[in-house]
Amino acid sequence: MTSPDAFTAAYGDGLRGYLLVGGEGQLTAAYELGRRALAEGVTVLDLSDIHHDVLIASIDGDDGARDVVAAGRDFLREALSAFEMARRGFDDARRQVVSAQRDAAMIRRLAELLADAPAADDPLWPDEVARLLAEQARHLCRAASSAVTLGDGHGAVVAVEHDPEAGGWATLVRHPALRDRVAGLREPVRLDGSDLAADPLMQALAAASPVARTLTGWMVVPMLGAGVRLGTIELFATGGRAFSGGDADVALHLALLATGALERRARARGEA
Amino acid sequence: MPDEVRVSIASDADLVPARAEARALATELGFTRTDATLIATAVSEIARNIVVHVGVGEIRMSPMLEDQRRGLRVVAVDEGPGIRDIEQALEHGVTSHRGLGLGLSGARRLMDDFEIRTLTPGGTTIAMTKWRVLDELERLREDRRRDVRTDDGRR
Repeated sequence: MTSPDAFTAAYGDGLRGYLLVGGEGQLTAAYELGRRALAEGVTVLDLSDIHHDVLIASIDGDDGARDVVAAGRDFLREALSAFEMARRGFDDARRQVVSAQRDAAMIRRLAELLADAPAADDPLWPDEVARLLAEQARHLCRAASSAVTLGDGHGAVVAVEHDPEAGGWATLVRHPALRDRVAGLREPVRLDGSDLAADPLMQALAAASPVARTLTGWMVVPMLGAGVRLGTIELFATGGRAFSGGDADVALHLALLATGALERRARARGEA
Repeated sequence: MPDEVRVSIASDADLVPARAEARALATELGFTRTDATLIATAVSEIARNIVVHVGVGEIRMSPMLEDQRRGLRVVAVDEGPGIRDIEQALEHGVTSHRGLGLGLSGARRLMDDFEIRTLTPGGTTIAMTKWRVLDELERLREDRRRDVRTDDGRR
């Protein structure tokens, strides 16, 4: 990538060349400049300004004409700003589609793995599967930390995932007061920053744990099979982020996948 | 440079002074013409949001002066019914304009920081900031100005 000044200079050379001699060769250079603008992140607003500024500089000794082109430049820039806003929206949407496709592929792979591993003597169970579940849940829901418990009520915390650089998560996740709270949950729970600020338990945890003070979202999804709680997926968000309805859907989907696998595992053990 | 500029919003006509003040402040803060346009556009979108969904509100604009960067903070305040689902409201901004990404979501994409606080009922506050990093010459000037101020303080 070159500097904006280098692009401006190249555009100026190209446009001046076209104004002087014209022809398809110069128009091809303009086409190349358009491709280069895209590659270098030059917006359509910048391009319009550069274009008009070159035109203004090309007008000899006619202040009136220069003023007209400058006014046209300013007017067009304002009109183009809506297109720039829409372009950013399309870019966001494209990124979201790519991200959703990647997430869907990850969920599919996890589903295949869980479907393939119900055998009673499969060494993947239960720690490795819980770790995988926590890892995928954290990644898919863009969580700072995640935890998976297995069993009913005060089921054991089998896996905790978090940024290796960030300490304190394992202690927070295993805090007895938090475990008591999770043990009583039969329905999914999703708290955002304002919910956490109003929650006495979360406030007590924040007073005791530096990492709890950074929380801006908390979500727990129980894994329920035939009325029995088989475990939970628990997610923690920080940095101003709260879990969305889409995140809750993803966590619920993972919980359903894990529930199916746990039930198949239990049947396999019963038959063995 | 003013500490804060306030513009009351009650109709589409109020978009004009809001845009003008935003552009003037952006120019004073050294933003490029393109960035000043993007800021004015973002201000237009949140002002229009007030006109369409609430009727009356206020846009407050203030300069942000930090060591390494300058910012223009825009805060839109209204006392309307509030936004029940912010996520959906940002999404609605997309769908209500035939998926073009205008409205609140568009304003969010044009600015660097964007935050919505809302109470239902009680009103909504949208705070957004556009930043520009000082270039090397500006940083040197800033350092010199700070040194002079420190020396003056010692005397």
